[in-house]
Amino acid sequence: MEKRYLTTAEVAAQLRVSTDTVLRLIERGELPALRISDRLFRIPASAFARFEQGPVARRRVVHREVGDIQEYGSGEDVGGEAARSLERV
Amino acid sequence: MRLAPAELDAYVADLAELAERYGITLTLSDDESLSIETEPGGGRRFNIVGSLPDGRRPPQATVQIAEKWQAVDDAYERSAYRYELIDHQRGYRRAFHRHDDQWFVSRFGVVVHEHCESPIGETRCPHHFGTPIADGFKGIEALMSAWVADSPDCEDLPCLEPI
Repeated sequence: MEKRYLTTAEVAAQLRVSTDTVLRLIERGELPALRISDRLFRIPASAFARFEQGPVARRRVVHREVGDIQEYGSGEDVGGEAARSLERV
Repeated sequence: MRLAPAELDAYVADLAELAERYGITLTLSDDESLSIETEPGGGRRFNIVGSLPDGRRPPQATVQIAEKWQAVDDAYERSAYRYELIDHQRGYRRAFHRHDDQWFVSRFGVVVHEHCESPIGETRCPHHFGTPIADGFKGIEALMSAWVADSPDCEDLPCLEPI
């Protein structure tokens, strides 16, 4: 299985910038990263690939009415329909 | 977490944008809109679904960010969430849930719970103790952390015990 994340040093090497520059990209929110400790981050390989493609276009939001009430606990033991009825009261 | 209707719209757009910036390919075409659905009774819900590149074509690793919001006065409060990662390559399911509050409080004394399955469909524990996820952004971070983790962490998670 391919490694799913890059370190800041690996990103710096690929971008040919310093690790401080990569940390600044992370701090500014330009490069999504997962904090492991104070100065340690994991940059998902998928996030880095997307970063290299440029900005993400913001999507519009539309509204629609639906006729059902969705339950998130389907398939789980959450006390059955009686508990759900109680929940909806 | 309470948002005015326009803020909820912006929140959903922000969530989708973050998911895409993490490299999640949404199950929407490039110019397709996000949908917020209004349920009978006025509650709102949304369901953002996508995939992560797992080396397969098409990718089989799926991510779901779903939330339910109930109307409170002229605003909405998040009342349930479902953040899910299905990682078929590693045979791993990781999920962070809040739903059926009253049942979980009466049964376990908690509101939120988590799921961890490795292999998928097998678990020693139906509901794991969970840390509340503050918002969908943290939900996405939790899923991505599971995605990049060196190995599944199911054995480390405490199981919820009936009170």
